[in-house]
Amino acid sequence: MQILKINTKCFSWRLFQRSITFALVTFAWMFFRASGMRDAVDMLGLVIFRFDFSHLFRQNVFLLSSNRQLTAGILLIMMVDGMNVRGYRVRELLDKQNIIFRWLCYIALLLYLLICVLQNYGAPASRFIYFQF
Amino acid sequence: MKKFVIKLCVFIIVFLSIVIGLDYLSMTEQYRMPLAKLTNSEDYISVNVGPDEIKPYIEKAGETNEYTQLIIGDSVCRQMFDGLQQYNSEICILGSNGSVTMIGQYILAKLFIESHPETTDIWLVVLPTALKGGFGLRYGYQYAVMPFVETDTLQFLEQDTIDEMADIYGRFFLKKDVVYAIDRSGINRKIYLNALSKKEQVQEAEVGETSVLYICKIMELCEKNNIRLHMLPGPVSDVNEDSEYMRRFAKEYSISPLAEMFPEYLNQIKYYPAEQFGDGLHFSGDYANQQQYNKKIWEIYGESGLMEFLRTE
Repeated sequence: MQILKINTKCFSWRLFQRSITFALVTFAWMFFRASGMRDAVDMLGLVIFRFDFSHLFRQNVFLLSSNRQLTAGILLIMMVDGMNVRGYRVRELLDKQNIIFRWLCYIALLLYLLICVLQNYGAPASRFIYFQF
Repeated sequence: MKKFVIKLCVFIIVFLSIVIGLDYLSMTEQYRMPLAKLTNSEDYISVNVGPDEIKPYIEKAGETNEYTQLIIGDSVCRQMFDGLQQYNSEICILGSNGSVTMIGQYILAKLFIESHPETTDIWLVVLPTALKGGFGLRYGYQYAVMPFVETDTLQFLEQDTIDEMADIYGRFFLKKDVVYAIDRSGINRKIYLNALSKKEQVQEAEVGETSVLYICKIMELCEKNNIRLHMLPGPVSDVNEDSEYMRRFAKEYSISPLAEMFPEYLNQIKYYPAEQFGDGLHFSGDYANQQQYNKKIWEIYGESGLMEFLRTE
């Protein structure tokens, strides 16, 4: 790094490192996701030889998921992780707050989880409707 | 530790109070739909189904007017006869659906007889499948229990029948306030109906004891009031002809008290080509219009005596 005079203390270097990690993890996922080695190689072939940039912006790809709860959950994890990286501990921050605010945060989080569960719970309503003619 | 337990208990009480409050709001007119949308349960209350579909029949049966005859039955009866009400000022047509079971037909007949002392005939038009026993886990609660409880007609039923309902749906869920809470709130309806559908459905006889009991009760009512009761079959898809199901049905029917009360029922069943039915039960496409229904009504019921009274145009 010193020979190339690359600054490793700046944001662009961290972004580069994260991009490489992300690419390697995504590459590894192909082998987990595929039903066999042959499929994984086929998928790899498609990625290399028939790559289309627009595919990245399709629904259900990474954060563009149509599942809003999943997206919100990932963003929340990223936010808490980002705070931890910067030395802010969410739990410690909450402990310093008044009990009313603290409990409001807990209740809001629990209600959010409850709503997510209810949204995805059970069969569609049509299953319980006696369709006639 | 003690302090933590106290705090935890208080927190649980506060949280549950908020959840109960939100559930209460989900029953109010103002927040009913927004909360249903938030929990993805708006489909459970957005269409006129379940109790809202059945209650108008119960109300109509109890109205006082000039009708002297009543046609009741399942959804096939409704499909074929509903369009004829405009031509028949003396016949009340109340074909509802099979999910109300024979109990629902009994309630309709009882209310009608009480509000129409001049009644001469009751025509019960049902498919063989409508005579099946038991309450369905998928539709039974919404189409039978809820409308009966909400219209206070559950009291007309035998205690054994109420106990049977309590075994299936839970006695708590037969209480009027609870039924109201499930009816008004999409969230409650979604949770309860889905939980109910996970229960195991008990296999019932093709000619159920409860069905027979309530047809006998309709007959008793009719005899007491000098009314003629007729039971007629709906049109059946020809895939059922000579099927194992029809053989089982005919065998059970022939040994039930119904065979003595309505000996012609089995012989009156008419089969039509399967392509005329959309779902195996109801007519669809080119066969789903009043002209086609009238043709079939004459074919099936021409000899039954019904056509002496029923006008088709």
